[in-house]
Amino acid sequence: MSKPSLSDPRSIRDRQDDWNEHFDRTRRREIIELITDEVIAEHAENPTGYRNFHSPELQRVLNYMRVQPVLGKYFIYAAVPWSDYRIATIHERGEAPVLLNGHHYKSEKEAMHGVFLLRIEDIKSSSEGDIQ
Amino acid sequence: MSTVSIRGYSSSPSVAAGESLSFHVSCDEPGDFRADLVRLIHGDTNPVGPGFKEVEIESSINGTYPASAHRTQSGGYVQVADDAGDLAPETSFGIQLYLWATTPARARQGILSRWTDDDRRGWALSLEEGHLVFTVGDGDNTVSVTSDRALFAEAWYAVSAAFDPATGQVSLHQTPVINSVNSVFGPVFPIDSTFSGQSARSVVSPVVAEAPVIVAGLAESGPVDGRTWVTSPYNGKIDSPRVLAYGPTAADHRSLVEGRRSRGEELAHWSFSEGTGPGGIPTDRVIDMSGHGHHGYCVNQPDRAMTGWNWIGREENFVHAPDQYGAIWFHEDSLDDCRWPSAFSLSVPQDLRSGVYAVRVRQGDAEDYIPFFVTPPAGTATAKILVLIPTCSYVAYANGQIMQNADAGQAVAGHVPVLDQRDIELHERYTEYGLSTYDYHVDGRGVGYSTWRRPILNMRPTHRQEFGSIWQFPADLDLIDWLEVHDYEYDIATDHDLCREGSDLLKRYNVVISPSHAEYTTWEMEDAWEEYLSSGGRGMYLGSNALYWITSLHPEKPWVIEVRKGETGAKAWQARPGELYHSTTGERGGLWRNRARPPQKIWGTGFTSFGFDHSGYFVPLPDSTDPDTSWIFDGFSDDERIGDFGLVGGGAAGYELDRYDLSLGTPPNTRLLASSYGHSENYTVVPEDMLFPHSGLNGGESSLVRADITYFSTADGGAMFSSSSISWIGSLSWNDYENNVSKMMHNVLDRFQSDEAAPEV
Repeated sequence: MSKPSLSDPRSIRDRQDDWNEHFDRTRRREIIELITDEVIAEHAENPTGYRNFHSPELQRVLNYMRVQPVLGKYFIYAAVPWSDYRIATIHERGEAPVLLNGHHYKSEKEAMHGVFLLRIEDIKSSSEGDIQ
Repeated sequence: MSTVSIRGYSSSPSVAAGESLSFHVSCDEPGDFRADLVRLIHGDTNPVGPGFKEVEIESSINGTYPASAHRTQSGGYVQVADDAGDLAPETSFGIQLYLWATTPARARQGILSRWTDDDRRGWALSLEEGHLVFTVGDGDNTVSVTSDRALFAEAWYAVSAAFDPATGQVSLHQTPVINSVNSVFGPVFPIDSTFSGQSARSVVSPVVAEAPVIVAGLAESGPVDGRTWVTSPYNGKIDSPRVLAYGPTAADHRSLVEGRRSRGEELAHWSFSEGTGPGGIPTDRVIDMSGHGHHGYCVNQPDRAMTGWNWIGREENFVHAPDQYGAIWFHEDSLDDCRWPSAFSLSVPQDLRSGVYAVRVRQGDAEDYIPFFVTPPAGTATAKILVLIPTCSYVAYANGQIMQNADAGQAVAGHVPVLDQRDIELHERYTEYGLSTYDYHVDGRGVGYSTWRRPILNMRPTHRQEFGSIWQFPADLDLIDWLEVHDYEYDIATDHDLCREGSDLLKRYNVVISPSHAEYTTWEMEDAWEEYLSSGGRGMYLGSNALYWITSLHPEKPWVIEVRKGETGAKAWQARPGELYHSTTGERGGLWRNRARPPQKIWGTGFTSFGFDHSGYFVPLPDSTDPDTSWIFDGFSDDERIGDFGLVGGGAAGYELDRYDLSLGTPPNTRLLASSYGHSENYTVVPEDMLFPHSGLNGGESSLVRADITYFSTADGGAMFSSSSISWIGSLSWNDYENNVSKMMHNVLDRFQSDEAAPEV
């Protein structure tokens, strides 16, 4: 391992990244176990939990999804408010968001579930290379 | 995602009938634009509700105007005129200062300069690829010296630089000056970041650049139409910059490191803390202590009253130790005024009714609404009801981009945010429109100043906040709509009017209504409400999380507010150690609760929880049937759920919630009429109520997660009704206004606007 430089700040690496990578890999395994057909159906039915709070399993999955780094994160874009919602990813200030092709929804709630399904795909695909 | 736009702002938030204000409009496209005056009634476009409502008003300003694209100067700096060229001597000269850079490796940054960047004339100390560089140029040749040690971020350095015209050489010294508290790491880190060096001989001869001295940037060129534009903005602190009539030697640099003044004449010595008094340092003015009168001024409100290189941490109030607060913290993305030229002015006719107005501007398919508020003629009232528009809070949230910038944004929202074209425009053009007190500057400091004088894209009548609903200005139009539909006569005034007039303004009315979210208040506003309520006034607080953050208006620029967030509270950022006191007033920032003025003392309830996934509803409590207060429930059936419906989260109890709490000053005669249920796990207890954090401090598990409807009477027939929820007024129009939230509002407002005393409890 390299020694932290005393003279060149650009060579300093945040070792916390090592832990974060380890922790995230562990959490992804836990989250994948929680993603069942029942959890997906529960989210499709009521993505905000209105008048029927989310189950502990769904809440834990959502908590994981929501705290991911903001750059590259999905959000809903109101292309035509109240009739056409799309999914996009956010990037650095000053850069245009990127609209995803092929994702059109008639309501905010449908789009929320669209994002949920994309995130499940992402979690599963990012775990494929993990050592079990 | 179109990016062509027309945008504008007014010179002030409000104007009295009979007075005037100016409008400033920039168009991306050439040609003409159309302007029309409208009165705004309702903003929420939700198809379940009444939809957007405006009334076109005949006005002398209605018409077509030539379109221009106006440039915005972003970034904070200090400018010092030097028309005589005193600070560009032909003899030896030098500069000294202390600096604490926050983004040293970012793009080129000017630190102290008398330089025109287009022809490379003059002198400049700058940061390039993380290294300090001192440069002198005469338009044909330049000579420079570059430190071989890149700067560590957020660490203080002493810096000296010199030019010797006899040899054409420049020299540079940099030395870390780190103590236990002034930098991100302390003395135990064995830093190796000292440099001393000089250039080779050169043929450069000093010339007078056609530019002022700029601290924290470089003049782009000579003045254009009398104005200097600044490029290469610097991020970080600068303390005690000086221009010397000699070139500082290594020995002179050692004196600087030790905090001693070195030999010889100073041509200029700017003390950024000079002028500090009991009221802070409420000015843009920067004082030259050398005796040569080279005073300057701040542009775009950099952060004043900042800990300096010699802060030792024993004193946290800059008013008590100004000599340790000699720093200004500059940011490349700060903004206090777009400074666009006026497109037209509106002279408000004496007989124009008080209300919520906007100038609607259109060019091709592009459209903008520029909202402003018309009050009655100065010193008068034209109704018995006053709606107090929380403009300090609008400015605090102006152009906020939490969901685009904060990792935790979606966790706070409790769902995926919904952005629209305005949010995208803000994200892409943030340097033109500035930031909110919910954002961070690019260098990581929370935004402590926010301005009205810029297009505020999230303060537009149809705007939906990123977390998926209307918020603040468009939400408050729900109340305006309800008053209009039911033919209540009302006047409008703003926080800015209240700060100027105090309780005299409120005392002209039988009842004053605060709508959904008056979070940011000044000492003067708190005094005004207390004086009003304790002398027979009646208040209706129809929101939540009000009277929360200590706020100041800049005395020289009342369109600018200041906040310092910390040390607790639900907050986007926290003031750094030693920086909790407001520069513009000298007062301690943070929560009013921590200065013995919790909101419960004035309005009966105070902030307790928040969540944005959906809203709950109220259930009546025993006081609802008490003969003293049952009139509030006239027309209700027993145990009827209140507000189990609405356009904001589907309920009248939601988004942010306040609670009754005797220990925090709720008047002991207060009645607790109803409290709310239906809040999810995403609603959490606010940090100031968490001592030991533990699981279960959330909706459904903690009794603190609720909104309380309360009532208390005051002296001389006064009274206060609080519904304590941001989503309350979002339920008013439900079922074509036939609902129990609307019914309760009638019961209270009809009593409060009458000349008879409010029922005593």
